[in-house]
Amino acid sequence: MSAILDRDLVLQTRRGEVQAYGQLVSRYQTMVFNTCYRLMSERRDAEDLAQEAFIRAYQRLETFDEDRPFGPWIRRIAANLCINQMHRSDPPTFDIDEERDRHTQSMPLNPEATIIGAENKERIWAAILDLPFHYRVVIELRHFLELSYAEISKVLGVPLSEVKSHLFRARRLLAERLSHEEIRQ
Amino acid sequence: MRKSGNRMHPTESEIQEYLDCELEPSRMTEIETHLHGCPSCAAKWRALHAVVISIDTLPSQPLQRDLTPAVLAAIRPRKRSSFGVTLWAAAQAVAVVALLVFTWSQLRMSLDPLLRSLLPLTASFPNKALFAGLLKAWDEIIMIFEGLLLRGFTVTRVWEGVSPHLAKHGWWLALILVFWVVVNGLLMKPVRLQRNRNE
Repeated sequence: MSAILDRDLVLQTRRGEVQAYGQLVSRYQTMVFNTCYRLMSERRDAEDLAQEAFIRAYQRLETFDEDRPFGPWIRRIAANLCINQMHRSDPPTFDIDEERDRHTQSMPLNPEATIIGAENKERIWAAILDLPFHYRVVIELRHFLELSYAEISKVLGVPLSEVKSHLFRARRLLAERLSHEEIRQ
Repeated sequence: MRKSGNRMHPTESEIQEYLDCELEPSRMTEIETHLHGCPSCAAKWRALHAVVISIDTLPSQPLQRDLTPAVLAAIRPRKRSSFGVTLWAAAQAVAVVALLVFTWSQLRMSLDPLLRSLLPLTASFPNKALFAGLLKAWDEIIMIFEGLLLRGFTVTRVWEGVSPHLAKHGWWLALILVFWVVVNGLLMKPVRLQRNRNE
């Protein structure tokens, strides 16, 4: 439990105490950076966007309900920034044939390899960062921001069926990569 | 759901939705029961579950620089928003009073005969006493307003002396005032709504 509640820091910031916001940044910067890193795949970009997320959050602090947790709110702002950034710089393109081919494949039935592989977290990080952006983003929104399928669909502006298929393919790709790594070792 | 022999297997998509608790409760129960008796589907569930656990237990990557100084340098001390709103409301009130004072003579000259001309029409009203009461209230307002403002301040007369042209077009000023108040109200509404809701 933090010595000073997030709620109090938010209220102090609203009263003009900038140092209180500094404490919020210190408290959540690693979490926000990790959200950006998983989405952007580049440390430098992730740091810049995490910083931008805190600035945006400060500008919108009046809209934040201080009775809700600050962490999910700032992570959501960071995720939206990353999604917008990626869409601006690299509009999503989907190789339909590749997707169709892959859709017929099943999840590799090698859970032990995946679980053993989970001991080496760096490999899982690498596997996630290696995913295409449209797969990374559903992984982030589902696993780390804990959004429902319907919420993800709304955030990304894509049909629910697309959310389900992207999530399944993302997980399958991760399973494949982790299984292959395990076999190679 | 696809059929295999005598058994109806859930699709991999359904197994995923089961794992993510995204199915209806009745379907959740059906798939749970199926997984207990079907090694093939249970293996698919375990494979998917292993990936989910791997992702969910992913540790944080350390941040290599402290973002706090850069963030604090980029933001300016926040003024209390209530002060801004109060200032805005005070400016509106001053504007209303000022324009009312400057246009009072035109307002009175136009409204007073209009109201009095309506009095004979109310003779046939079932509740004519009400209108008479309203007219009496109007007289009271005139007395109070002129007593408090016009006798207290000579600004109106000074203003009219300085700028007869402006006084002549008092109705235009009144229209601009109404427009200003309405537009400001419309502008402030989304701000108030935004403040009250959670993003």
